[in-house]
Amino acid sequence: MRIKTIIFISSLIFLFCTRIFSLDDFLFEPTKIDEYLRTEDFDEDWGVRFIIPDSLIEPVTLTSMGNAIYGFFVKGYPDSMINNQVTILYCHGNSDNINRYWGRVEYLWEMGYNVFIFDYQGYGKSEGNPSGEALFSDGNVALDYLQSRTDIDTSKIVFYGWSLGSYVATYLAADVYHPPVLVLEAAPASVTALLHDAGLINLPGSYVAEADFDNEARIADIGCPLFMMHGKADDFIVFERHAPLIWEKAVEPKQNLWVEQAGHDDIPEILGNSYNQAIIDFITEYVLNQ
Amino acid sequence: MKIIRMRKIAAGCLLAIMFLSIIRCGTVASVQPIGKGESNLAFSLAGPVAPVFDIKMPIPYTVLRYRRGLNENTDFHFGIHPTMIILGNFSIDVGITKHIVPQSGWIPALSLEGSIYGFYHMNEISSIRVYPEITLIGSYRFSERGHILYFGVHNMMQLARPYVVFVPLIGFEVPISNKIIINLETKWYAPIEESENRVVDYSLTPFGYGAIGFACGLSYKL
Repeated sequence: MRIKTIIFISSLIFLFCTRIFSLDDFLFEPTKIDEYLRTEDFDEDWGVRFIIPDSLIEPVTLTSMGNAIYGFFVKGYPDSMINNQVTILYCHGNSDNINRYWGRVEYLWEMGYNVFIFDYQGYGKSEGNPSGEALFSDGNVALDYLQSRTDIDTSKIVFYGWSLGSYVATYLAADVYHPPVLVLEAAPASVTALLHDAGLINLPGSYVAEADFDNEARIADIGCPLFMMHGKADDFIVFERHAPLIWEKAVEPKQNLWVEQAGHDDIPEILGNSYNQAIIDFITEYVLNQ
Repeated sequence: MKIIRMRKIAAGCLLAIMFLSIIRCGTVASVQPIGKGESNLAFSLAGPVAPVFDIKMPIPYTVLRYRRGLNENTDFHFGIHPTMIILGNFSIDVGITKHIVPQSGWIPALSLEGSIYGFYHMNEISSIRVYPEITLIGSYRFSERGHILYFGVHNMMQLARPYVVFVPLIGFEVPISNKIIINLETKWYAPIEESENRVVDYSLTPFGYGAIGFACGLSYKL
């Protein structure tokens, strides 16, 4: 009996120390595809208009943690007044892959900016599997790629993160390179905040996920102006339980756009032209006019 | 919308498990005294119902608990939580159950349990959390063999909103043999907290509040 007890307790200690199971996989919702930007793969809800000429879309392949990851560099509209001056590094959300966010790329491209969007490991055609470490590595690689380009102004690379992508954008801004501005849309405060939201318990997020996803902790270190957007009708990353946590920790200069009727996915659609104008005004003030 | 639904399912699987861990999702109640010097080992599995891989089921949170009778009316228990352990989290509970009123006619037997739940995530001292919990259980033994109907409420406390999380429950204890007892419980987790617009899409949310879950336990008399 005593030997069995010792074996049993030893087994539990071993399991505890090795953390044989992690829930990180549940954090990510990638969709794999063989080819990007095929019209038949697009959902009507995504609002993609296919307005960017093929000649301005440049496929990019990078390597992150030994895995190939894929992205697209979209050159700003040739007639734009600010073409080639500002480049948006777009860190997309949790679902699917680049296709899902192509409509967002179109919005930013219409504003006159270059846009670089990339798939994290495990998303789209990108190899590997998503994880907190992988996402941060992918963000680093994407930033390195933009900074290596000679045809853009590398001092005017704006980080834009939507939902899950906000973790990557904020991490890059706080820990890697201070951009001229950081734009966050529907950003969760942290895995800890998600945990509290789900279970009402004040446990650290590390109990369930190894991913170091913590916008609330990093936001004070971004070293640049912050523009935050959040739908007040967001039923997933609920405004009251996330946005104020980040906003209160952020330092000046900072601006927000709390959108009354918007949910998690539809801030641009709800705002219409005001969305474009808000971003243009912010970037003009803090990037182009500096 | 499809995308939001999928996101919520995934996040729900992840996060609901934590919901269970502290507010007694994985344990069944100590209903009646086991007697001085007696001891048993109980394994329980439970949780609120939520979609897991598109199947609505109680999240499988497990607890292994040792219980010993200190005297005729007082039991001691110590539990470990395997589900948390495989996630690299050290998780235990320890407590005392005092059986304060014996059953008399329509008056149910009453027991009061005080427990401490402790959590620690490996290599992270700041992750240590301790949560006290008080449980009040009323029970009726209604057969010679020892079938028991019981009801009560867990009250877990923390230094954050909500400061107290209530979990009303109703359960049924069935003796299978002289050594084996099965408990089946239905719990209503956090019935005064709104369920809508949470990361987890709990499947059973009466009146839009809290989440219904189920627990089952198997006790073996040592």
